[in-house]
Amino acid sequence: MSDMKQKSQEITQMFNDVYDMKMPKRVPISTWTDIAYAIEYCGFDVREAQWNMDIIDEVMDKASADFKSDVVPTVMIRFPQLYEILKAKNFVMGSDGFIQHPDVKSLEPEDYPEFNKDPYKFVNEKVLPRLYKGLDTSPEKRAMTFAKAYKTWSDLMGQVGTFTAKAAEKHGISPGGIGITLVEAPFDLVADQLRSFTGITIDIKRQGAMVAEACEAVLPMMLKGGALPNSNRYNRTFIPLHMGPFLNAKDFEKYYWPTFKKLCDGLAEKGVGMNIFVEQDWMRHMDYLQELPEGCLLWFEFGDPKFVKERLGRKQIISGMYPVTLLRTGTKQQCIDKAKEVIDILAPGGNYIFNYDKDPLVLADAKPENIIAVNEFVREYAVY
Amino acid sequence: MDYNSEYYTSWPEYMEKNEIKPEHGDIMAPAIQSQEELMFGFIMFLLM
Repeated sequence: MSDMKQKSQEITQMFNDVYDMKMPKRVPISTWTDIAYAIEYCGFDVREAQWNMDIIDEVMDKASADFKSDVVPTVMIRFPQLYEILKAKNFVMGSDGFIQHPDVKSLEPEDYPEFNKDPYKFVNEKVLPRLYKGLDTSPEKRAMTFAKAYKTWSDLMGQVGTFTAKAAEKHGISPGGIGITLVEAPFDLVADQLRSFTGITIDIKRQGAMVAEACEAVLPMMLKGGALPNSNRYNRTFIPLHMGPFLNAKDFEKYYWPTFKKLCDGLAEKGVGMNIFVEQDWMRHMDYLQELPEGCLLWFEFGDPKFVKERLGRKQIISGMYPVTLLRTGTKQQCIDKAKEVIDILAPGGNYIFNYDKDPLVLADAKPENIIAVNEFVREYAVY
Repeated sequence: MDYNSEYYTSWPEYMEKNEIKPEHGDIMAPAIQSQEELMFGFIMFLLM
């Protein structure tokens, strides 16, 4: 076995130790950038590079070599080819090349009864043609477009997986990503691309029972999507949370929490580890987060690290809360000082993985030299 | 528990509908059912 392959396995073991709630050799570093950031860093044009998988291979390799994360620090999952074939409304490349996610709607208020009866059927028949204009056509043309899209997605995901494994082995880092699959809290799924942010807010007031029923109806889809044949405590499921902080306490308790809790409990019963991105500020929902099954990784965006450590640090794995904004505006020393401050609070006792509060999306979001300085510091300092 | 939808067919349902003999089921399942699961995964991807 090559030295780098052995090193990659040792780094992966540090993550697995944390997922086993054991003390690792040091704090693992799981810092990421969006692919657009990495493309810009490598000097390519973001609009052009995303169409060329040879460039993506080069970008993932250089980011892995330079950024000093313990994981392959960037990955591509939004492919312009796929969205062009499908004529997508929900993912659109902006003038800067960044793939934007506009606020879209694919479920009308009067659709709830039919949707709730068989959501997977409704998605195939009505939601997908509403989100993807290329599927809103004759059955024959739709079948051909769908076949091209599926082939494209399958091929490109396979290539990205190969690039990740290759970079991990070459640079002695972990190939493990944020998750091997992605699902959403049932309320977020209904809100995000089905009813839209504004639509779901109106529905809660006008037909709350239908919203609650829809969350229950999509729960089995999320439980199925969140547990793949190779899912386990180490091959984890990523769940990014969206709408919780925007709901008042009553609506959160009634509409958001019940099916999200069932999703987490159901995945835990199947032995699936969960990496949950706690987007925005969830400090007022901390009592709920304490109810989640043991061993979830909670990647917090905003919040008080001391409060989080005290309330959740023994039962859950904590991550995040390092401000990306400082990587943009601060000096190297200021960034290192902040890393020390966060680590001194969150690392004692284990159950901690170092990460920023969010991924830098474009090069203007964080100075690369600050990313490298912070990651190098954590490698040296955060040893148990 | 298998997922229940008019548009999703579990392997036991497939075997029953297509009169697959039990002794052939284990051999065929990885080749056939894996495509049903991959399609489910793709459709979930398109929704998120």
